[in-house]
Amino acid sequence: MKGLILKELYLIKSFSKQYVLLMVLMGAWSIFVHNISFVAIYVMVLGSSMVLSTTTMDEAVSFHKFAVTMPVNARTLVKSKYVILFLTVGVGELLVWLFSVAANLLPAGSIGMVGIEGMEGMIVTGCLFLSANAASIPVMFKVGVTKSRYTYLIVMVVIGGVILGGYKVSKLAGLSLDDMLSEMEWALNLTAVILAAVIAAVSYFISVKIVQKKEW
Amino acid sequence: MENAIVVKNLTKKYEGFTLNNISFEVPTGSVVGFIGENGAGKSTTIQALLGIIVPDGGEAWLLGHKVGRKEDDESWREQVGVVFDECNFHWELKIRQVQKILGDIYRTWDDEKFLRYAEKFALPLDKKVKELSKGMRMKLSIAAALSHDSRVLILDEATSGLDPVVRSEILDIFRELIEDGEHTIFISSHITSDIEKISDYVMLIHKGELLLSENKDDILYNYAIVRCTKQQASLIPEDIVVGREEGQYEVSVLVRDKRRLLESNFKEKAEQAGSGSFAIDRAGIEDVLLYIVKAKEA
Repeated sequence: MKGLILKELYLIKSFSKQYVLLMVLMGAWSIFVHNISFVAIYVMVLGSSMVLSTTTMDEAVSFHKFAVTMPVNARTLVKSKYVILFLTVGVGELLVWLFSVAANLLPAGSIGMVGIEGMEGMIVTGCLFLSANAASIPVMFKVGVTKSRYTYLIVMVVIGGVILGGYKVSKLAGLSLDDMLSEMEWALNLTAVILAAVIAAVSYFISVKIVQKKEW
Repeated sequence: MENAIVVKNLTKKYEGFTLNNISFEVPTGSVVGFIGENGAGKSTTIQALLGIIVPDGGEAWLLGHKVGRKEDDESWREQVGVVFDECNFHWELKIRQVQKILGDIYRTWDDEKFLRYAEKFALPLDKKVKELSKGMRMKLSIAAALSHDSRVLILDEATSGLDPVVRSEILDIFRELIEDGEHTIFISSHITSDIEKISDYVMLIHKGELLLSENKDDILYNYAIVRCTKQQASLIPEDIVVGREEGQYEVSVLVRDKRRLLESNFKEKAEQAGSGSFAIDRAGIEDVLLYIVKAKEA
C-alpha cells in the first residue's frame, strides 16, 4: 500500500501549487472581509476533494486497470484512497486551526473575525466533508469520478438543507439553534466523529465489494 | 514442459461480441504471438487472463495460480509483467517518481535493473511522463515490466504505434529475455511482422473464436500459397485448402500442408493441364491470417 499512498502524494504534489496560491488568495480575502470562514471552508473543501482529484488522474491513464495486474488486491487499492481521504481532511483541519491561531495573534480588532473560540464547529464541519466524500467514493469506484462529484454535491446540499431546516424550525419554535448546539458541543463533536467513522467504514466495505467485481 | 499460462473455455459476452469458449496453453520459456484484426478479441482475452474483466465462463491460470478477483494474496503477480498499448503511468509524474512508486509496490523490484533499462532506452529520469514521446512512454512501461521478477510478460499491442526502429529494439530486448528459457512472453499484435520475428507459437483469433494455434516454424514450413489458374486449383486436395482468393484469371490458394500438396503430384498434374503457369510461394503469418479470416467470412 505504501506505493499507492506515495503515488497519491506525488499526484497531490503535482497540482498543489495552484491550490496553495488559491489558499493564499482566500486567506487574503478572509482578512479583507474580516471572516476566516472563507479560507476555512475552502481548505476543507479542497482537502476532502483530493481523492476525487487524484482518481480523475488515475482514470485519465487507466491506472486501475494496470493496478489490477500488480501485486495489489482490491482491499489495498480501496484502502489507499480512504487513507488519503483521512489524511487530507486531517491536514485541512490542521490548516484551519493554524489559520485560526494566526488570526488570533494579529492585533485585536485588525481582523475581528472568528478566532479559536469560533473554530469548535470545524470538527463537525470536517466530519461532514469527510462523510460526504466517503459517501461518494463507492460511486466513484462504481461509475467514475464525474458522477461521484454529483453524489458529493447532492450529499452536501442535503446536509446544508438539514442545517438550514434546523435553523428555520428552531426559529419558528423561538429557540436559538446556535445556543443549543454550543450547549451540547462535545456531544455534537463526538456524535459527528462517530457518525463519520461509521459512514467511512460502511463506504469502505461497499467500495471493496465494488472493486472486487469491477471490470476496469 | 510446464505451462506458464493455461486458459480453459474462456467466455465473455458483450453486446455485439462474444469471446467464445477460448482454450489454449502457453509453455514456459516460449513466445506466443496472438494475432487478429482490431476487435477480434485479443484484448478481451488478455484482460480476462489478467483478471481485469470477469469472464462469464471458463478459467485462466497464470504460473499455476487461478486468476480471480477476491484473493488476498496477490504476491504471485510479482512474477507477471504487463504492458498495455497505452502508458498507464500518470503524466504528471517524473520517471524517478514512477520508479519509487513501483519500488514500493513490487517486493521484487530491482532499482539497478530499472536504471540499466532506463539508460539503455535513454529515459531521462527527471522528465515527466507527459514530456516523453509515445515510443519513450512505451519504453518506460516495458522497463517497468522487466524490473521486477516477471517470469511471464504479457503485452497487449505494446508495439503498436511505434516506429520500426523502436519496435526492433524492443523485440531485441524480448529475445534477450527469453534466452534463459525461464521467461515466457505472450504478445498480442496486429503487426504480424513482429510476431513472425519473435514468436515460437502463433495464435489467431477472429470474432472471438480461436481459429489457429500452431508452432510458427510449422506454419512457415507447411503453409504455402499456390498461385494458379482455376482449373489447376481444382487439382489441389480439398482437405489441405485453408482459403482461397479468386481473381479474374488467377486463383491464390492457401494450403496447410505443402508436403502433401507435392505428394499429390500437383505439380505434374498442373503442368499436364497446361492451362498456364503456376507458382508455389512461401506463406507468411500475415498471409495465413488474411486467408483464414477471409475463408471464415466467406
